[in-house]
Amino acid sequence: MRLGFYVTGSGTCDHRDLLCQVERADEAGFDSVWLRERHFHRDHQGRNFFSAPMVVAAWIAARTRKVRIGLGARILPLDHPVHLAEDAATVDVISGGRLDVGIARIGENQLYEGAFARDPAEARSRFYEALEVMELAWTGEPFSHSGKHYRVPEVAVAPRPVQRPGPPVYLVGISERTLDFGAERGLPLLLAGAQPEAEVERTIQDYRSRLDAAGHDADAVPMPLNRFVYVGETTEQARAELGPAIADFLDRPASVIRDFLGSRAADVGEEMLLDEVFICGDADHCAERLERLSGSAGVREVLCTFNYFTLPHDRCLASMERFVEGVQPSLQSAVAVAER
Amino acid sequence: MRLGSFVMGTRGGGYEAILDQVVRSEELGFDTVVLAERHFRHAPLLYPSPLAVAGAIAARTQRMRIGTAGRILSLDHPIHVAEAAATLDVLSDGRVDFGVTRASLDEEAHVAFSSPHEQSRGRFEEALEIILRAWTEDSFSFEGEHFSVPEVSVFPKPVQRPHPPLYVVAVSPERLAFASREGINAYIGAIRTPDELGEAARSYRHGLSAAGHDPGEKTLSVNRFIYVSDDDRCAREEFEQPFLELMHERAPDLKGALVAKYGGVEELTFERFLADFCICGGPDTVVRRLHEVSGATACDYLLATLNFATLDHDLCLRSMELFGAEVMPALVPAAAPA
Repeated sequence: MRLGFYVTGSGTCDHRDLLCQVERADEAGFDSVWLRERHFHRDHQGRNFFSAPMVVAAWIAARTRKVRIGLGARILPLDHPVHLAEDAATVDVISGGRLDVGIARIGENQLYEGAFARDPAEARSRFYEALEVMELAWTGEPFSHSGKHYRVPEVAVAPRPVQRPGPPVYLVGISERTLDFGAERGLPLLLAGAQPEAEVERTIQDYRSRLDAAGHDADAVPMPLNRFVYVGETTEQARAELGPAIADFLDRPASVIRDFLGSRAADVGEEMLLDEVFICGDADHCAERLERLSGSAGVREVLCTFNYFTLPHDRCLASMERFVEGVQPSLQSAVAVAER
Repeated sequence: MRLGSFVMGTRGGGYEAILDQVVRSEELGFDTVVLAERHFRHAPLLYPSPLAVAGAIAARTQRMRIGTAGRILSLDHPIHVAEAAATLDVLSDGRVDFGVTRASLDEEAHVAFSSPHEQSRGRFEEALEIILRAWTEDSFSFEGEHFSVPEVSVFPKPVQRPHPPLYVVAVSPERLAFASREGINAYIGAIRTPDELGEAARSYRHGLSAAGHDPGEKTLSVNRFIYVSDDDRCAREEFEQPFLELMHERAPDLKGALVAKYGGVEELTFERFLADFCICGGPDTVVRRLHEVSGATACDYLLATLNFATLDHDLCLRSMELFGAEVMPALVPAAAPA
């Protein structure tokens, strides 16, 4: 199983803590770290590490060696696609070809469209067109474009990304049309952190059948799954330490919880979250849960959110260390067995 | 006088080489590194995303300030710019000098980003106001001719309070007057003679006073192309060809400005460049000519363009080492290279 670190940020971490966690993931052999894009938001300390993810990605690139750096995701309609392409190519060059670009059609609320002067009704057509322009720009060859939203005269965009034809593109989305669009193009799909496991299994099966229908080999298309992971000394201790973060999740508006949990939203509660969403326990428990996801749901890549919300940096790092020591080796050997 | 290094690019275009140069410049005692913004230029001029490059620089350096000269405000949404520069200020622990410019010298960029050149003045001034309010106000809204922003709270806020030092690229008399009127620090240009720079410096300071600002509190930053070698003859042999290549082939925006200034492409000779605005020689010559510039302008910052995109990385590093060892101590007696 491939492993990533999804950097959500925490109200109790500053940027040095964040870098420390990312550097640890790089040293420990994680395959990727992922950042999000989030505007007009602040944590308890007034911080937001995610309103300009390309700046943070370049900063991380300059301090890491092997780990891939993913953006989960750029909200394409909010920026000019040539800017998006230039920024991504710059980070791809600085990182020596380690960038993955997640793409999303909308952000977490409509404030985004208002602030960036975008008509929400145009989000979908801008999304499609921006991806097209971004991919043309990444060729580094002269191109021109004349579409509904963007008119670009003949230009050649520099720098050219290191990865050819460009950084891998990952889809973030849940709507039928977005999933069909992704399947049509055979795009990898990022699976959201708060989906219950049964929902995850259904989403994977659903996307696989859409990929099949579009003539793609579903086995060859990555579908990394984001999970909240907390590894404690004992399962009891882990559950107690994650309590405040879970309480915070339960405080969210019902509509948000419904979007996350889908058909299981009616049963939401601490027990249900601990059993079906969060992976929280001692190392054996966490390894078992992840192995089960790899077996039943066919998950081949997990992006672990270690620094969720109210978790202090030292606890987050301790949980990462227990993961590296007690969970990571068994997942890697499980893959070795499966591949034999 | 403080010293900065203005980074245009390096032959071959690799960001790794540029990061090495920047790290070395910090060790040598440069106070700041400054990045330009350019679009649609093939390597080695690679700066469409100066704030991303600055993010990598922030990760590799500890002390030096990181500036832009400048973010082209008319080409981007100001909230994106405010967020990115504030993020950089956080990641660098408050080392950002935020330099802005009204428009790109390339018409192409304005067409590509659907931001007509003739609107650039209005967009620039509105964008600057939005950025400053995003940084300094808990929440704000804005209604202008070019931008309309509903009530939002922008995060992160910069570490530097009330905000990072602001600079404006003041190449035209109109921008220089704007900088004076608004009391903003100024970058003045790379392709002017010491006398012309002196005239601009006087005009800037006079304008500051006239508008009620204290010139002593504002920073004037002057840019020079510089190449240092063992002696004047070696310097010219190593520098002439790559510098002519830059001016004639790689930077159409600069070339356009020079043709307009000198009246024809045939006037763009190395002798003229050397007489007017580039400094190339052994350490003594470079010190003497930099004293002319600082004498004419009384500038606070001297930005040395040591890697101008067509120069080999090795030659750039050697010139930078000589600058640090033999030029810097003569300019800034207190500076002690690491």
